[in-house]
Amino acid sequence: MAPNVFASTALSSVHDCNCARPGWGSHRYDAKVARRHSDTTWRRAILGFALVGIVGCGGSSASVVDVLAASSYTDVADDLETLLEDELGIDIRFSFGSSGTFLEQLNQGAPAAVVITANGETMRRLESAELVDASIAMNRNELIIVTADTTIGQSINSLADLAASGDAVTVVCASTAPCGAATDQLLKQAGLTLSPASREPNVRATLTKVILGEADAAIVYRTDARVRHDLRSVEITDTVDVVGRAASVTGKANGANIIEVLGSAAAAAILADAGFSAP
Amino acid sequence: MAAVPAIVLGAPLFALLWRLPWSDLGGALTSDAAKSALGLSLITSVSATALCVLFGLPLAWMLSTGTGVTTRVVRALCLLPIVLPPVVGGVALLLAFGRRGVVGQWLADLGIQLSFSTAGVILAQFFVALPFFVLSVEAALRQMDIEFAEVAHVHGASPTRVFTSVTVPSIAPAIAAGAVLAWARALGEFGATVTFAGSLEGRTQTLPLAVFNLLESDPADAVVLSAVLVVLAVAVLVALRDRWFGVLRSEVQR
Repeated sequence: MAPNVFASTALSSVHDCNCARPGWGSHRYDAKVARRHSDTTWRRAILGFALVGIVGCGGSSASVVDVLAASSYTDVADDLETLLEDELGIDIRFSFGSSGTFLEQLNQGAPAAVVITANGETMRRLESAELVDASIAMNRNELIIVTADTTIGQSINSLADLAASGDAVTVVCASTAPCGAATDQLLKQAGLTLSPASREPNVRATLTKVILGEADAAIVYRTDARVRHDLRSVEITDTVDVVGRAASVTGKANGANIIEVLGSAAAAAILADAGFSAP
Repeated sequence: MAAVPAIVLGAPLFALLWRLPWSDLGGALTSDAAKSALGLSLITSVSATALCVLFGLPLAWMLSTGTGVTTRVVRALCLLPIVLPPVVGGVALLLAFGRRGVVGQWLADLGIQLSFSTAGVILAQFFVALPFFVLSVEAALRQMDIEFAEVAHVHGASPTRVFTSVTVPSIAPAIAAGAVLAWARALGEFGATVTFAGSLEGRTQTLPLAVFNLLESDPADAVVLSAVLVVLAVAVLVALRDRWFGVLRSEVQR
């Protein structure tokens, strides 16, 4: 409801501008009317903002336990959330981002009890900053190529094809994101270079560009490729794998319990179902 | 009560300058990523502003003279990017001008791809900045004393001549202010750019995108580039001080 209040206020201000100006004629008078109109518009706008504020605050609750996860876990989060809530009887809320931002977010006091990173390196940084307790390995994931339903996309059958194709619009993750770091490592060990059209902030943004057909190919995790069955995926020989890790945030209640459930056989089954390999 | 907004608005600026790594300023500003982002931002934002002036001026003139339904619809369309979250603007741009977009597929047939290109960055900036220019100029056109234009018209000047010789000079300050405002908006554009044009150093990674990227690898450098944007924003305020603060003063006197 709150957004509607604001939207109608914004629209009414547009409307007011229109009726305040019937023509060129008596513009002095018009200006006064316009000012009066804009006064009420401001009052309405302020009221609207206040309502948004009140309603907005009412939505959050202190009893929710937050889990901060890398964007590659987007599709297993619902099942993991259900499992955690059933096992622990607490309200769990997942939020997603690029693992690279977690250090800064936790440093600034993000209210997460648990973090799940897409690779070991970002978790090591969190551990050495003493922000989290000892981490566990959740799963393994590999890089593969996904291609769009384009002529160029369909012609790509290997990493070497991708590197050799000058015309293919390729997107990969930014070096700062775990999938990007793994991509750099992959290219380095294969002795190949790519000239990507874009280095997207996280793996999901990278995948989206292929789903939309903006890019011919992208390098993403195997699990991301499985999300969209209509996309063609191409295996990479001698691929690089990354190990997703989870840890409880130091000093947060419920963190250790959540980690225990995430390390259980039930959680492993959910992850395996989504295409993650065992660590 | 006044202290709350003062702290909310002032503290982030103060903190940014406080955390500025003064000793490493030169290094942060001369890194490859920073230099290419600065250059790219300058080129794209100035180009977007030029497009805003070129296409925004006739549009503002049309809006200021028209009263019909079409005018209102066009004005509403023109205001939309201001209230729209930029990332939504980026998605809309993709659906329109992307390779498979409504317009984009025709462009693709001609061999033109806007997404992931510097031209795409300019398009995204133009999209978000145009309303600021049009609104500023339209307001001035409406408040303009039309007697001079009428006199010129009576004396036989063509509508084009009236527009270029009378109308434009008399609203020049509003054109300048609108252009500066549009430039500042284009310079700060993030959401629509990253969604539509992607992020690649030297091609589509503008200053705000570089800040976002650096925050994950080198927060100190991100702070320096943020400070650059703050300095530019302050420069805009100084450039427009007479216009905005002048309005405040005259309101007080009244």
